[in-house]
Amino acid sequence: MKQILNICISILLTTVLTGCHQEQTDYHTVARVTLDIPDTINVIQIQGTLTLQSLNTTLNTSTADMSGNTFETTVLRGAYKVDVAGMVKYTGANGAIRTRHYRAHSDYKPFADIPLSKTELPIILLEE
Amino acid sequence: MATTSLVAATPDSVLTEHQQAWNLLDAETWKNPALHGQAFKTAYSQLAISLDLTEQTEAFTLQKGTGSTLYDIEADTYLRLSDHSSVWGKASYMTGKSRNIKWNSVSDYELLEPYILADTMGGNTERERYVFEGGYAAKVGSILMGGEMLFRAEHEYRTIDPRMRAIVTDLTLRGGVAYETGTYLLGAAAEANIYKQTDNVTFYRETGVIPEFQMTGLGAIYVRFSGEVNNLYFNGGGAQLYLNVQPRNGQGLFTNITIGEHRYERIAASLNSLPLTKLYREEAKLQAGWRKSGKTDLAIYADAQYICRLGDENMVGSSQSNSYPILTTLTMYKNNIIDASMNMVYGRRQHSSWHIAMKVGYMQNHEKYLEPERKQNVSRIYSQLSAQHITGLGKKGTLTCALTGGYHKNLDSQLSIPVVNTETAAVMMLNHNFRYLKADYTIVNAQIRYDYGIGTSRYAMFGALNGGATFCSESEYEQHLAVKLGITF
Repeated sequence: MKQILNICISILLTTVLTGCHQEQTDYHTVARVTLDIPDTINVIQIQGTLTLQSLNTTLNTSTADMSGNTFETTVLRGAYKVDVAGMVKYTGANGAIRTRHYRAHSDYKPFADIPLSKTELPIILLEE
Repeated sequence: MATTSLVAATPDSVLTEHQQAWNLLDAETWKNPALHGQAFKTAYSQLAISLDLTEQTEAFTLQKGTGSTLYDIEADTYLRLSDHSSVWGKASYMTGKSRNIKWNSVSDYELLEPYILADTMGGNTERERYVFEGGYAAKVGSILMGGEMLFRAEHEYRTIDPRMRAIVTDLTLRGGVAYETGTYLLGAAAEANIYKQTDNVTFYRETGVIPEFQMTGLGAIYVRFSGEVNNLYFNGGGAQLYLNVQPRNGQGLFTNITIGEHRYERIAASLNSLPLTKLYREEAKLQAGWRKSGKTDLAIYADAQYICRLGDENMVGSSQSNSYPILTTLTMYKNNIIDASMNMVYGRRQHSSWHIAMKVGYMQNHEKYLEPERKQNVSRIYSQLSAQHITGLGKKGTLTCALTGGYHKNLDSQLSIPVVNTETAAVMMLNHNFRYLKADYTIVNAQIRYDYGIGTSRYAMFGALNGGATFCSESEYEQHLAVKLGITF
């Protein structure tokens, strides 16, 4: 009887430990958003804030850390609404230096590839 | 075929054999149809109508409502065809009403939660349920074989806005074998289950339309597909394995092991059958102890159950021609439940039959939603004492009395939710349910049943009254009353 009980408990433990559903735990990815700057301007300095809103959870992730014209931040893998707002100092086609507000927006961008998901967004220079 | 009088309250009477509390000890064992075939020496059938009332002064769980009024007609039978074979079956129809359900627009809430459709308004629901079950078992030499089928169809709906309608079909097939050794019965059984529910919510008054939320766990909402995605279906099913070791002469060590996995997928019918979430439910159960039955019954055993529920959410991309690509699948919801108890049953069967059962246990339930992080942990200890007495009353009557008392004491509780990222109404719902999750409960229940033999035939009439109350430390309570009338033969 003791032997049978041992066998039963071994079967139980083995099945519980090996038979469980495989958890999908690659939760996060690095979202890289590169701003697409018009060819007609020559950027001297650019600053801005990137906000990613998860379409599933509506959770917002923000960063103001820019490298050149690129943002990077770690987010939960999924679909996002992207908003960028900031200021850019540039030399225009006529050689004049100007500073203007800009925006970039997309209602839907997927950030699902791991470890890095890349996307590009064109900026719109706002009228002063 | 046994010729024992159906209502004679002697230890070997049919009624005692089929109604005694001692049988609860074998509930797990008899899930193996091969062993269910050896459950009783006598045939017993029952046809009954019943009324079941439950009322809570405030809903302990909003999704389950404040109570119900249910009418049921049920036919149950267990027949010995010969010394080596038996057959059993059940057919029932239940209809009634559940009251004040909120945050739940589906049927089978406990099975599917947290992946349900929900709204803040809710209301009463009308219910209908059909159940058909049947099984057969035979013994060939030292080998016992059996099979059974269990089918349930359920219809739940509301006739005022929000008009939810859920139709459930649930089919389970079981096959089992057992082998007789010198002193033990070694059994194994396998079960397959197919589950389907179609669920939709409609509004007739255009001005009264409220959003239906796709819930994803602990108040989290799949915002993108909430609002007007009110047409869902749930595809599910799974498999279960049973292992049994039982002493042949009723005395010795015994073990029952259950291992199973079920999965339930929530699919948006109106979005080209887009799968939104999938819930996995894994279960392991162990019952082991020592038992002795005869004129004196005694069993001491441990019960342990572990349930792991994991929820996968599909992260869905942008639609192209109403076809949504799935970007990735993430396990966002985790729920672990541990329930362990020590049990003792003691009783005697002489001129009358009586049994006392005691149980002391520990239960913990940990729930987690990954991001933004939500947690709900509850642990409690509980104890229960129940007694049953079956005795003769007059020449043709049998009286069955049962009393149960229990106490559940909360040990630890924790609720952590990101209030800023959660719907205000969902925060209120979580706080309400948590208030009752962390409460202490005192449970009392009494049952009395009288069986009266008709002439010298095997037929008998019976009436049963069951009443009870659950008192919550939050100054609310639940009352329960059931009346059953029927005939046995």
